[in-house]
Amino acid sequence: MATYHGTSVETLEHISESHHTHHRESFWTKYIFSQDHKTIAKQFLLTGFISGFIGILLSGIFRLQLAFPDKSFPFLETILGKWAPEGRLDPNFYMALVTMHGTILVFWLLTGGLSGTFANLLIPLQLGARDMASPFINMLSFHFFFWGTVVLMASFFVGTGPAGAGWTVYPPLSALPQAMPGSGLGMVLWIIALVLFVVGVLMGGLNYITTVLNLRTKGMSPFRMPLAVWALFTVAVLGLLSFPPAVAAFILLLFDHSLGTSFYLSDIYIAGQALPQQGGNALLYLHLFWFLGHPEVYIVLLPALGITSELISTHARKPIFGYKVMVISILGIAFVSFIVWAHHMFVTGMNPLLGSIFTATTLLVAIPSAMKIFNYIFTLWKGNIHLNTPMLFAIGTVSFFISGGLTGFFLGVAPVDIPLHNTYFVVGHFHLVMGVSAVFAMFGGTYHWFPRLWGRMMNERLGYLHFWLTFVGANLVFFPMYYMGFGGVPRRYYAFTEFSFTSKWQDLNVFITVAALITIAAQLIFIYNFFHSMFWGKPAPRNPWKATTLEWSAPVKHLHGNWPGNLPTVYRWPYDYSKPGAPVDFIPQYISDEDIARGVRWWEEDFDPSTVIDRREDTGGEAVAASVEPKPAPALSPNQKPPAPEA
Amino acid sequence: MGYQRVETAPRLHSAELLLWLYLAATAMLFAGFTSAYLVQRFSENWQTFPIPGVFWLNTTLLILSSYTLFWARRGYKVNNPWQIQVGLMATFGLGVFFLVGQVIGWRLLVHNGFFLAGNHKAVSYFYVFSGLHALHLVAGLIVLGYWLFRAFRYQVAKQTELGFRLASTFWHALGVLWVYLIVFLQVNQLF
Repeated sequence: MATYHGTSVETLEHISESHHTHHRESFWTKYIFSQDHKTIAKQFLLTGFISGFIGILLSGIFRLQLAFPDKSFPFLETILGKWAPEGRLDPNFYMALVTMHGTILVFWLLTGGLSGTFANLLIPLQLGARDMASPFINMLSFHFFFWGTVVLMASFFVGTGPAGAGWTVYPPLSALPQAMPGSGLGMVLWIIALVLFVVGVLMGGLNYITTVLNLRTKGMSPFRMPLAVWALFTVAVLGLLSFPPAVAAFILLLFDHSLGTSFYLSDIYIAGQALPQQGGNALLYLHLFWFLGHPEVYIVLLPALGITSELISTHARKPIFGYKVMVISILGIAFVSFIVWAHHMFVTGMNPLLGSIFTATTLLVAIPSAMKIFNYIFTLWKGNIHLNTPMLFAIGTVSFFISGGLTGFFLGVAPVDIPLHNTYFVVGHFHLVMGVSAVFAMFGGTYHWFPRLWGRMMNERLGYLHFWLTFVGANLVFFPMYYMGFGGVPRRYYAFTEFSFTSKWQDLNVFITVAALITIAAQLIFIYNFFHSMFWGKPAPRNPWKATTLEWSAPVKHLHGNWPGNLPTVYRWPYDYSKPGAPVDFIPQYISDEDIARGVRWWEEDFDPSTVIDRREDTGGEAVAASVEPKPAPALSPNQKPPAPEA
Repeated sequence: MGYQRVETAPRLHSAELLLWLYLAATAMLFAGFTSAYLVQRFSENWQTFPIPGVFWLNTTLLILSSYTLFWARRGYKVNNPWQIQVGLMATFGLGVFFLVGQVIGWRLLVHNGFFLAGNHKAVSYFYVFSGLHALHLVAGLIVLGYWLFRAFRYQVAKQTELGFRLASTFWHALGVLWVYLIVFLQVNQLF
């Protein structure tokens, strides 16, 4: 018998069997402490969406302030209490709202929510694995994320309010408790929440990498992996390399904030009083933060683009154009993302030569990004395009990636960035290119994989309505910001009425706020559709989109272990759509040429993939499906001779 | 023709790969810290301070503990429970002595007027690095304690090969991390 690291294959099979047989499950083990990657995906999705919705509600409040700075809104006092005396938003709380909006959307919705959901759902299912490499660490990953969420939300209820130094929490504002109310306990909670969040993300990431490297089913060679998996894998590597230095930055910040060190602080006067901290350097924080901060943009974007690849290919019924180029561009973007961080710091007085180097590396990002966009367009070209909700959102993602990405050229070039820095031009740019674009991919992915998650379809008509309102709304909100930015309107200001160069944009601000409120309201359609479909949606067939990837070969009803019998064996790449000579316009990855010759009819509604998957005796994929948590074998005393391994 | 089993057989067990990835993340954390140190080290107001000798004694203890752990692992390979128990106990003991030694070292620093708070960056960094390493070492001691407990119940055997190997990899990594930190800190005090 073959042995594997001292463990016989028989033992491994025993492990993988015990892994997917059903244990008696209580409410707690099934919903709260679940170790099933599909349940954990749902937990990430729900936590991400709920915190994301809170995040956009915050933006609704500060948009009201920006549009009507002199008006009183009594309902604000009802919900915010002392932070909106007489219905007018407190300036400090305005800063807190902006900070928390950014933190929640960048980290909680678009990092934890997006990667957490789709990596958990797709990596094991699309690779033909029973679960993640370590289901236990996977569970912990969600719990760290969840408790991070709790700590972050708790900061709304402390006396001095939540953190208020902007989502990048630059010192000295973030490092001096006396600097502003939001620099008090709220700041400490922000740091703790972020550290919990990073630990959660890293635990997830370690698992994603290990699962992709070790648990692919038989035949799933790297170049047969769906692009979504390639993207999620790359993102996990990016996170592993870039989040720890950010934690280092946050820990040093916490020391400065609460323990009297001066890593980031020097020459500060508050109300005429000189502070004792000397010799620190705030720029050090900026370097450490943006060493994460820029890869973070791609930690958000790459999963979105990976999901978009799946959606566009499936719903255009065409193979993705330039599969290997897509893989190379994912890796290229990931690599370049590590050498561009200082383009966030062009105004910090850096050496112009260094600025030019970072300009050059930044513009390099355009090459792999443009490759992706061309490939999306050529996949759509002459495709049999099904304009259903997931496809609309996928096209929306590409559209925003272009309209937001092109302005990156301006900001990436130091001499142009210097006047545009910290203006609404930047706000418009990153909201479109990484905010809305990634949110659209997340929506598209949710509509597409909802049947896989909950076994039901979402309502198409409500989906269309949600798409069009959000698509038009987001453009109306963020496009005008480019003009305001060119006019020199700075970001993070409480009111624009004080200066003539800003007050002349007031009408546009009202317009943006109205558009934003309508767009926020449109999300209620999604929330209704989401929860209504979860319980009362049309029951989904096993493969509703006639897709080729493995997740659609598993039964609609969730099994811990994913497939009731054998793991599927893979015979082809993931994009066999509209193949000339094939009987239908899709051939799933687990269908072999012999199956086709044998007359297997995989496209029929009542076709059961296990009739193909289980008839193969040769299930080598199982051998590697051993998870990290083997059942402890009965212990032998060291003096007892272990059974001799069979040859 | 079917596929060869070898095609997807992993080179490293998943648990081992997870541990190495975790160690890579830890390495990045301390790479972040030490590069922050280097950035500030070349600023105008940089001051050095003498690192008390006890920290070098502690370093020796930690290196020794790695050796005793190797010895314990060898005992396991030749099926000698006594060697496993003694080796693990020695490792655990040396780990505890290391921690106690670190506390003594910090007290000496305080006694000499070098505090965490204040503007002496080299000292602040020293406390942060050694403190965070000590926290990791407490985790390492918990892991070692678990294996010590098992060793005394004669539960360290072929079936537990993987877990025991992971525990020792973790412990050795903590040793390597400390040696890196102390050498880094010492070298930066020299000039």
